[in-house]
Amino acid sequence: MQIINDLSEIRRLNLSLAMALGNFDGVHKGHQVLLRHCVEESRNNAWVSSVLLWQPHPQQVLQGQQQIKQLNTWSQKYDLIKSLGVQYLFYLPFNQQTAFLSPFEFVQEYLIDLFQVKKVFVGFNYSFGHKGSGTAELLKTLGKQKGFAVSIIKPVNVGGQVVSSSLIREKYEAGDILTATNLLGYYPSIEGEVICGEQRGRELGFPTANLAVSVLQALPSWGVYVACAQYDDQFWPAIVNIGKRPTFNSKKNSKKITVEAHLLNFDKNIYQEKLKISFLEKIRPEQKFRSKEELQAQICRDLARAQQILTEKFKSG
Amino acid sequence: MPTICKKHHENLAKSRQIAQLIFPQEFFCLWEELHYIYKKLGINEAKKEALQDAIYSFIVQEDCDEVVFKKTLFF
Repeated sequence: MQIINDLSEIRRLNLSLAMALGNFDGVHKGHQVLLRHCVEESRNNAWVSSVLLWQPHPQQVLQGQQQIKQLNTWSQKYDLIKSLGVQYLFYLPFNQQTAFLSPFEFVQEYLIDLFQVKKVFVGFNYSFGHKGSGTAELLKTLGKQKGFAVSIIKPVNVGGQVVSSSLIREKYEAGDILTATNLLGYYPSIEGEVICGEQRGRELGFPTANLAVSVLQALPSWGVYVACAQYDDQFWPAIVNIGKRPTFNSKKNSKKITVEAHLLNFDKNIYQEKLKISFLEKIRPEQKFRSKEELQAQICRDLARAQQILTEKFKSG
Repeated sequence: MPTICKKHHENLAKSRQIAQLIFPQEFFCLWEELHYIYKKLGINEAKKEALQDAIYSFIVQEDCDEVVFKKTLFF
């Protein structure tokens, strides 16, 4: 998949483009259906399949300081879109000027003048243009006038609920990993650099990798999770603690949230290396223990539970 | 003399299929949710459209079973 973020390069391309529009945060099952339609129709019509993404997320520009937590990092989103067979990824800056484009201006300036699209694919609830005033139906009408086709993809449901990024964020942030996974179609994950911690885990006999994650990355609720860590293209079973480490942290109002992963049967030094953590299931909420010994005993129980969960999952997979 | 419709068995199977599709509570939840979204979007005949799309969504629902542990599920 080719990434293009240079307007002059886009202008030089002379492609018959089919384009999927949206933010695709999470690249969840609904997005996957939409992208599959785009790829398949492109193959059948000798078009080039593509996705148009904005950087930063439009809501971040529109809502100012309020940070919208993202379900994917950029590289994860890239991998997911690529895995679905999309050929081109256009990545354009979203700023105040773009935000003020009316739906008509967006269609004319981007879809017609810049990309000369043959067909676009959008979700049933797609909105575009200034303050999201354009709807999927309006896009269809404008497409008829301007000479490109529009396919509006029907909602996808899981267990009677419409799959959406906001629903996934809600479940994920509540620690409901199983539902989030079913809505996403893959295990939710975070990634970041391993940083130097306070060596508390090592003192307890369970060394941990402390992960520095972007403030824009969505995190599951505080607690202990069974997970799979990906390092250097290899998978390691792990237990992960997310929270404020109340047993050691005496500052009640501390805002610092830590992500610590104990990788099973792993003894390498991976400071400053990139680590990806995929969450499989929540084991328990974060707790404060009266002593180091109590915490150690609980970690042993957590490890046993993690082994049990992993065995069950490996069996069914 | 009463006659039996030629497509009796076919129709019976279709009826069974429709009932199986729309009987679960999940179906009504989806219909309701879609109706709410479509009304907000100003779609004409929102309730009917929501019903149609809920049926469609349940018919095409394929890979929504519980996700099992596979390497391909790590991104």
